Amino acid sequence: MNKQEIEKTLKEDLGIKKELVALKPLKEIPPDIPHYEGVATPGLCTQVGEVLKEKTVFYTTRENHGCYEGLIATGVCELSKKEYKETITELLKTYPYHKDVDTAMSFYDQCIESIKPPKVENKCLLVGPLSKIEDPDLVLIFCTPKQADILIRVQGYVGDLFKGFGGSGGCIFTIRYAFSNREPTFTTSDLSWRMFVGLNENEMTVTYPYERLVEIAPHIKSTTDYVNNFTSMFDNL
Amino acid sequence: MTKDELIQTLKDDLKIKKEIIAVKAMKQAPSDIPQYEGQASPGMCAFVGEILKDGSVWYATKENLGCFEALTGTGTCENMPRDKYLEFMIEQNQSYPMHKNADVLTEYYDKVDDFFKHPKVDGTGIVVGPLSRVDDPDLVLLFVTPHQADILTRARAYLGDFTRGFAGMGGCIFTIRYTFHSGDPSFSTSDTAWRMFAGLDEDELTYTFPYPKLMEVADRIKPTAEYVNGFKSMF
Repeated sequence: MNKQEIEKTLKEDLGIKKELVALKPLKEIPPDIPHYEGVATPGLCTQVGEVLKEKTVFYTTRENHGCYEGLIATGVCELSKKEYKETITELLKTYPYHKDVDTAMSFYDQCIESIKPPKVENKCLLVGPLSKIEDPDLVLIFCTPKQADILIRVQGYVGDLFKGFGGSGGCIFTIRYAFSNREPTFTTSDLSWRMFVGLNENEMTVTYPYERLVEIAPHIKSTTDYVNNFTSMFDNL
Repeated sequence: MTKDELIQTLKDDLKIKKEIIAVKAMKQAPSDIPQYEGQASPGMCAFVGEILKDGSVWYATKENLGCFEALTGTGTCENMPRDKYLEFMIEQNQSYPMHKNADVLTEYYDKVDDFFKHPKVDGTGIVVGPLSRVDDPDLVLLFVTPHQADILTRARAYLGDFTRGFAGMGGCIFTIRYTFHSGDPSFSTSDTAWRMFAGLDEDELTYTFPYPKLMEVADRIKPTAEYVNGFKSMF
């Protein structure tokens, strides 16, 4: 299946309503794509929200982000533990998402241990609708739990388990795990990601490495049909 | 916080609509709770669906569930020998195509059993019912939207924990076995059978807590829900 056909089966068969967003870290700055202007606050979640609204494509670098997690997650930049602690100490004064700095740092250590940050080897991150990005690296799918279950069922059909995460720090869960492990993942993300991307109460994020989406795409229609007709196979429902 | 107060904050503050279900592994049949009559098919998912509809409390053993995943996941029933189990699943796969072929199925369950350990068998069956009617439960099943799940996860993160989620084929592996064995809360889109027979809406997923872990975050639910629901107004 080509990219257009993948997009079609996700939208028409699975019924995904929001735009599919692609991410692609690049080793060089692209000459033909605009640089994001200004600073997205907090960070990648806001930029993804903008892509969903305006369907624009841009590349983004550290200067364009208030929060760097989306760039750390894709090997575009890194933050030392000391820098992280300084940032979190400031942030916690306004946004109390951990009890105190020690709790925040313990959470950070757990996340680093479980979801390893990739090596920094990219200069920027390309962000845009899937239809406008060639050879994407990751695809973000915003879907209901039922739609996620259909994708997960397809993955089970080809023999894979599906892992997910949730906590504070959306990009750690929506991006870093899938990018580093080349495995799809599902997540309820975190408050900022949900708010600034513009997810509704019923939506979650499923992230696919593009090559893994290509593998399962031919099964999406048949699995959706099967799941939607499942009730009719049982008379106790 | 008492159990009643916990239920109140889950329903009034987090606004969970479905009944909150409790699961308790029993070392012997309880004297005050009736044994389920007949056999729930496929198994725990249909059993939970029934309880969600009528609010009843039952004790169930191997005779009462067509599929044993919830029992093996709570240490209340022995596993089938591996070859018999795979034989059974391969047969099921012919009626309900879950995996591409028998080899893929075998590979899938190797991965599952490698990752999701079974607890030691030291019980006889499980009591399942609304949380209000089950004393000292082991697990609590919450049927929540992603937004509500995020609030629970945020309450956990406030105290320093992130939450794992799993899904695939075999709902009880993810909704019951992982949490029972590891003691870690987890969320799951489960699987088609669990969703269908438990009666989940399209926007619901299952969040499973060990009861003591839920009590740990209980008093954070109200302030976290208020913070999250008021977050937009800060911008």
